[in-house]
Amino acid sequence: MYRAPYTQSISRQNKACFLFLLDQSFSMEEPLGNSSNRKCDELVAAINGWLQNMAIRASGDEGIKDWMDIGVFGYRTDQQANPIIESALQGSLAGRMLVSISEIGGAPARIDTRMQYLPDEETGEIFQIPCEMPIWVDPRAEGGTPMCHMLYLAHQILADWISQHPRSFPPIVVHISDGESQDGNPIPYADALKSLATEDGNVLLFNCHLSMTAADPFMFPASDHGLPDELARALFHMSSILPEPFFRHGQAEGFPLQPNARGMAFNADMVCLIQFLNMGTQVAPGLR
Amino acid sequence: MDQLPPTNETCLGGRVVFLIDESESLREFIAGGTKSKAESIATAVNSLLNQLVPVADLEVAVAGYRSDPNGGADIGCRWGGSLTGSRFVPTAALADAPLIIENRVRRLGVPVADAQEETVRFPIWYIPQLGGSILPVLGYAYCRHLVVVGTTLETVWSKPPLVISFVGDLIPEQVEMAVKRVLGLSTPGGSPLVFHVHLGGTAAGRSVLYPSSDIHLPPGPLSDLFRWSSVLPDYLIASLRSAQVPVSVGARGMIYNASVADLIRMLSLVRVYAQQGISDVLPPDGQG
Repeated sequence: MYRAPYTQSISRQNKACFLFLLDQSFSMEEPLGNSSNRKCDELVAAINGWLQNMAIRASGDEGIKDWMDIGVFGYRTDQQANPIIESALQGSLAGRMLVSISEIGGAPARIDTRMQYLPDEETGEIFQIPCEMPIWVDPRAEGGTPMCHMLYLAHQILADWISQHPRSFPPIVVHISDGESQDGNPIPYADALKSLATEDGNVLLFNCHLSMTAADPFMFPASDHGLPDELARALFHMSSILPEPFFRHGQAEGFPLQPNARGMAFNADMVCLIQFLNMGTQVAPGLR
Repeated sequence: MDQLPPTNETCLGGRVVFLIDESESLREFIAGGTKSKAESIATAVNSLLNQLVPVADLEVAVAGYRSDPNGGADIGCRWGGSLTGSRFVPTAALADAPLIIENRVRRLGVPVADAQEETVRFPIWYIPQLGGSILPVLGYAYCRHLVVVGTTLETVWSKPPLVISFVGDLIPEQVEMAVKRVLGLSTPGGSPLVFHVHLGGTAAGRSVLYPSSDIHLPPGPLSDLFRWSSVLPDYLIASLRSAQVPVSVGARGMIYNASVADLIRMLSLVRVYAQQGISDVLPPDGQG
């Protein structure tokens, strides 16, 4: 019986897979647009927050459900310009390629305490409360941007995962970077990654560009006309067209999407980054 | 542009108008809270008025618009008790004139002597009374009238008037001219700053906070509010950023689908406005 693509429900039998590819090059040391914090700090804050959210969502009476595999990778170069592509997970999960959400939920590298700002509805004031923040990924910013090497490794990892999960909702790759590839043209590598498929559809590659400037962001463009430079156009062509369920979800969220909108954000600040992460990862059936 | 009388006074006074759509739609619960939108606005405004009491050289007006039981327009300042009939009230005069003083429970983020909360006196000047919906254009026309008749040769306020307009869900196009007639006023302190607050309700919807561009805003109420909202002066942008709210240069004073926390943060800008010197409060050249 025909079933539309990208509609496979996520379950223990048909796990999901999310891969985060994080630029850890030196320029991630710069402040993120509209913020005084470094890009690398804001990025890991968003990723740690996402991991915590997913662990909470997967929690049930029987503990954390084992319904998705997650990989978090960083890429940079050493002082001799050799690419370093490795898992960015810290603590007992360090070095692991793909880790189930149940393992992630149970093994943060440490727990930090942060101040959270909450509204007091009785007095109309904001008050601060210390809250525990599990940390899985730490910021890093050194060397160059070996993007092609990163995409190549992602291809290897997902080809293997798909062979073991052929009926699953296809893996979603979220790539977050602030600059151009320094080891070649990444588009063929991105195309190869997107050509991988489960029975439910092709691998989805979403690209988010972080900006130091406070320029207006481009979210989910449908054409490369009007994009500001070659980097933006390259990321556009690397990015998957939003499948129907993502498109509808984006419209419901208030994004003025055009047909063939792509999973891409350019000149993103922290708000865009979090919107982008949510948009790219909350559509799969069973996750909302 | 209407030119209002100049003033020779040099004090730093300012004037703030809270313009509230008091239609029945405010009975809905506010996003992220446990109270109605009307209660949330009232608590936030009363809390702010209480914080403004010690601020010198500041005058405030709380105005509302709704229909009366006969279907007529009920528009005016909502002061009661000894302030009945007043328009702008000096903040120093508020201390002796609350309608009632309630005891409310304030949550303490960090426990004090093991207590998580404390009881505080909560003076109330504004009690919302809701009626039928009337055209917001009438509310803006009254707001303009307030600013115009409040500006005389004896005017002592030297900052641009600040208008915080709480809008409901119905934002018809006819409002545009009325808002522009407020923005177009020229007072001794400069053209008014007009900020807009639209509260989110129980239905899910993406909040839009302080956008700096309307490129990604869908046509309709969101784009309309963007056009009608003033650009935030630099000192207010700095204040938001220090509260961990990411805002771009050029951001507009508007929040859409806002939560109770967003509402309180937006109103905290009034306190910052009240405490600023003249040179800091002038809006950027050419901005409304």
